[in-house]
Amino acid sequence: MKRLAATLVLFLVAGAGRASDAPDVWAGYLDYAYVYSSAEPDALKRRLDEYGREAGQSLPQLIAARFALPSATAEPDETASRRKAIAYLLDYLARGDLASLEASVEAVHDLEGGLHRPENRYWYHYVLAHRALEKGRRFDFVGEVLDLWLHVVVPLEASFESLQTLSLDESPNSGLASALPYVYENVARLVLLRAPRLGLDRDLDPLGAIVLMLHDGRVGAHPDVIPVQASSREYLDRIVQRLEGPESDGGSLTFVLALFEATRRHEQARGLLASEGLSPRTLDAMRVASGAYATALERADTVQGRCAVHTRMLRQLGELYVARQRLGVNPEIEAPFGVEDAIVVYEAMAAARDGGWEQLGWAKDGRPAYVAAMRGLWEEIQEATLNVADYYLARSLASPAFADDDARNAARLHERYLGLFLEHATAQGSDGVPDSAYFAAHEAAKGMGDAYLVYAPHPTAAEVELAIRRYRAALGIFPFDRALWSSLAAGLERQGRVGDYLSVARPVADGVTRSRALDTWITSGEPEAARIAALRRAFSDSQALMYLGFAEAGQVGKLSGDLRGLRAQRAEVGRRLAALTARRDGSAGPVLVSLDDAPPANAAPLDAAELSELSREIEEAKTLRARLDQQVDARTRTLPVFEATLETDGLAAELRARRDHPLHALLRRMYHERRS
Amino acid sequence: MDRRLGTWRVGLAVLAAALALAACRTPSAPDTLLGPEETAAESRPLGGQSLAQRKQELDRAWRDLVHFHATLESLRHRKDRNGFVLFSGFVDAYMGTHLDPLIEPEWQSEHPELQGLDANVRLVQAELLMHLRNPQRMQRALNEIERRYAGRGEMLVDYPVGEQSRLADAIENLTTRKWRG
Repeated sequence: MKRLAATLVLFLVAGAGRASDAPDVWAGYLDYAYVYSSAEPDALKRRLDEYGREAGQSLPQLIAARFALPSATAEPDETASRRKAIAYLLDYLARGDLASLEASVEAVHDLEGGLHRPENRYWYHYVLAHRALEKGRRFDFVGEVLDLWLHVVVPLEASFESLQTLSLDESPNSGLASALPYVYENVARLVLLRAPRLGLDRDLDPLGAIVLMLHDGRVGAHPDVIPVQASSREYLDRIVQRLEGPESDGGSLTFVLALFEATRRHEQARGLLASEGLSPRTLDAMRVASGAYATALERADTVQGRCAVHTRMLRQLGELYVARQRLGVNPEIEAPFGVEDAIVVYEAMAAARDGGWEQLGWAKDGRPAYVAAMRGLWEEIQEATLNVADYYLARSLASPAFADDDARNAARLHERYLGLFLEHATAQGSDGVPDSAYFAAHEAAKGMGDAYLVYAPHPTAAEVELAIRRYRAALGIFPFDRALWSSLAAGLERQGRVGDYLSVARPVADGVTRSRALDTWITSGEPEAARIAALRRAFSDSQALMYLGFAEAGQVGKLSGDLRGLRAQRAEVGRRLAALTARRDGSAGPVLVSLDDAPPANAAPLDAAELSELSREIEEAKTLRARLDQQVDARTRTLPVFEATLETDGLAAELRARRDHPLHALLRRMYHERRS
Repeated sequence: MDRRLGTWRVGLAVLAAALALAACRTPSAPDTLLGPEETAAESRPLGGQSLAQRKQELDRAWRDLVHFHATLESLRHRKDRNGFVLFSGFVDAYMGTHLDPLIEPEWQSEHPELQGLDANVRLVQAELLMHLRNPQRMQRALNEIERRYAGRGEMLVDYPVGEQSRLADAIENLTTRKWRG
């Protein structure tokens, strides 16, 4: 086979520069056209121009001189007709001239009497397939490709193997059999590249079998003929992976090609977004990608297929809103579908949880693939929802005039997500809910509280009440967000219920300290066990809980200074009490008002009134010292506990950034433990 | 679209007529110089490259049938009637022109190195005939398997696709599903 290519090269070299032999030189080029006819139009044109220079006659000149004259077709013989059909087809492929395609079709019909020869049959179906593509006749196209396979590939395969076994595949007499690797490649490119490019994007499913067969030890399996990297093997691998994988639509090739095209457009838009921001070109690319996703959705017949499209489409939606927020621009792009449509698909999948999921498209892939698809779709729903809500919150700060509306839009989105979460994150049916959904529920609840208490300038009393309830819920799901405890306190303060803080916070904290799941996590030394243990210690202490609610991280230095002052004050009170007691007992001079006071000499004995006054002062000093003891002890014990909780700062950001953070699994366990 | 479907229907009708004519035709007398005619199918390679090649052909045919099965299942599941008709014509023609001659030789079903592959191919063919809603041909294929593999019901076969079972169980499985195509 290597010799085949070498023969072609020698042939071309030998023919170079001899204009008078041009038709003969071109005959060789045309006979071996299956080697290069699938090249991209520009590359094909360059190659044909080069051949023209070597032959001393360009392809259009050859066509004009040899095939376009009426006399040339007066007595068509098989070989001449085939070469004529090939010449016109090459001209069409290189220049896109439809007249050339029609001339090729006309010539190829002259071969109908000689279709027993594989090369005639190959070009016959190959040319007609191109014409069907150009005319948009999809069933004709599918039929021509199936015919090509049945009448050319299948018979040639047995011959090819015999020839290869005997090392005769490079023999000049081996005919088209030796060209089988090129035939595979050409069919693959015709179906996978050219058909979608020409807009044939439906009813291709019968060709799924051809694609699977091409992938099965055919394309890329003859590296001595076509190097793997020069073949369409890699592309074919990706197509078949989609065709047989969990992102399929019941094995539909039409759908896979449509989704592949949409994904390609999405990648282009993403690249432009990274390099140019939301430029007009980026927006155009995003619109094209959205349109391609809409086409893919239209082609989807199963829930499996719709799930794959929505999962990818929501990613683009999330990226758009993140970019809007980051870049501070607000271009309008009509999305063909959004979060609500994706939720409808998710609900359909969830409804089949206990039976019938196979019929949704996952029969071949199995339940794990079905569950993985549900979780994948959920994650995109949650990310898109949170991103869009964040965008509204950011916009409420940028445009105070619309802040109330934007904050409420964000709150509505968060509430929608929480509704979905409550519906599906149940003990029995949460397998389709990913671990990261629990932290996302915390974010949504917190975001809803923030929307009313931080972003909306004029929340109603009911909204403030709802915000406080959402803060409590957010703490219940993820209590390790230190800042949220002070948000709760601030919310209560806004309601004039600051005194209720402990009664509201205590049950949440108790839930954490009593959690067996958390205890197991910490004692087993699971990830982040030390940081979480510090917070758990704080939750068991009401005073530490008060610090969490009312102390800022930056106040730790001041609180330590206050403690030192309290200790000094206690020591002073102690000394004063000792002096008072000694005077009353007659064992010392007068009471020191302060440490700077000099003791008076020759103090007189106390009368009854003085003794009574002294006793009262002693009692007061004792009470003060007891209170100071209590304060010092409490602060001495609690302040380090509160300081230790500062170590947990950043945990929420880490979970937000990583859907696969190990703590997500702990949150899931704690959530269901509380409800069991 | 209709033209293509029509073409397939006409093609199938022509094919059926040609097969009927061929069945009625009187065989021509053997050339006395060449001696009794022996078809390629009757020649029995005992080993070496020819056997390896036949094994390769059977294996490829089986894999191709599995791909046909996946595509037919997909078309049926998606209720793609036009696609199903188009592809059914292709599968039918493939069986008639390529598969049937490939599995015709008796010796393949007895050869220790080929019998497994031969049985696998026949079982997938029967399964495809069920999907093509052709229970008569499917029954003939099953009868042929039973005749060729009489007494070898314990043999392990790759059926259903992706699984293994005893040949007797595979035949029973197919028989009970014959009308479900």
